[in-house]
Amino acid sequence: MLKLRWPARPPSAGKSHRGETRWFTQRLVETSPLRAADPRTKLALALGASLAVMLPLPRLGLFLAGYVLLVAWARLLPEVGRHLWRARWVLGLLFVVDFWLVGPELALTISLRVALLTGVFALFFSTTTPRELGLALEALRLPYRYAFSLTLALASLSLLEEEWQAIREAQAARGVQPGRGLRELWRQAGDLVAFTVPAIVLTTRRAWNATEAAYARGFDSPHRRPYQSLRLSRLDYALLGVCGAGLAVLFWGGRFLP
Amino acid sequence: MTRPAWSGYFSTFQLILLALFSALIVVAKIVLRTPLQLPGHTGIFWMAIMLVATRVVPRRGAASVVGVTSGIMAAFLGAGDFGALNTFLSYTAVGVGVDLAMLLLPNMENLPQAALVGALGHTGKFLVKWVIGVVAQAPVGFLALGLARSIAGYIVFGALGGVLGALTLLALRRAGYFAYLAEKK
Repeated sequence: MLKLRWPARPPSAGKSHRGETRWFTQRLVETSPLRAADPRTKLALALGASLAVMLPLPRLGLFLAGYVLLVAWARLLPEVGRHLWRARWVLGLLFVVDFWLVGPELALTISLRVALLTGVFALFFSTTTPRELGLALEALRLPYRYAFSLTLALASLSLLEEEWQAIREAQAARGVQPGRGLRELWRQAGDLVAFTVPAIVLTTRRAWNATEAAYARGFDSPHRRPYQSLRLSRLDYALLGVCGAGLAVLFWGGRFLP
Repeated sequence: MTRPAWSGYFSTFQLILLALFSALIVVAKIVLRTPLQLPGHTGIFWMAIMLVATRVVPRRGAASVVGVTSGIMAAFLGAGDFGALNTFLSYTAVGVGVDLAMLLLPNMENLPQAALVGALGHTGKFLVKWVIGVVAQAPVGFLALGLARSIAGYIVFGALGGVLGALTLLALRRAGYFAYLAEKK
């Protein structure tokens, strides 16, 4: 079995050939211990944690204490905090309105539930590369062709961004720009075709080139075997065991829990 | 390795094309921001590309594939204000919504039909916000108040995106794009 080593930076990170900062960079936390875990384990952890929104307040509090410990161990507190910060106004408003209309308990419960849903998938997406995602999808019995096309699309984001920028600049030079008001936008609907048509044609050409290149390398061969595959390690079993047991106790702990 | 029976539903070219259209949606949503600061305004290019994808790959479920794929990509990049789950579900709901709407309104080169499909599909994103609010047991009155303003935006920009999609398809047909595509299959 191959020992996989992932690049420190995703292929889409950095600067384009024009020197512009690319926007489509994944925020990968290389220092997180969860980087060593199997992506399927991380997906299971994130999905399991999402189920905790169904818990009543005292048990939700217990769950959140464990969740914060896990996130701190995984060195993902800044990532989760970033997600929560972006939702701060809605969370704050939700808390204030619920407090005012219903009461403090419901306000706290709902705010914690929404906060949990907002940050929980950072466990997965901040510690998994596109290639690992493709391998995980394949391991989850998704057809290889779909996993491949998804990985390819993720790797193509920066190229597509450059194409969109080029189209936008070319159309701006011709005086075509999205309008500033709704009425102007309705009137301009026909002009906006100038953005979409070249983008569609360029994307189709790129898709065809990628398909031909893949077939030239034996893609879709009937006896294809994966070059890399995932295998659960002790860390995965430990994470799944501890987190699964914790969730089971919280859901079915009966009268021993608050 | 045995393949599931449904794995041959889309050809490899179609799957790659749909995945790249999904990437195009994610990129367009960020690069081609209009100066409007109204809820759902990014749906113009989103819905247009989605509708074009359903015509370029004329199979049921094409929009759902685009929705799921763009949802995974947007979640990966940390797009959206309410975390990856909401982002993924929103994009998926738009794709599924377009597929469902197309069962009744299949002609995407007809402007009124495309506008309706765009509006219905884009409303799927709104429904996800509603469902998450209900699952979290947020008061329905508060939800209704908060989301009432945005639903108008989702419908208007979804319809506008549908019109743009239909106009794009007509332009592509005039340019001989579909004849070019027929050679590639």
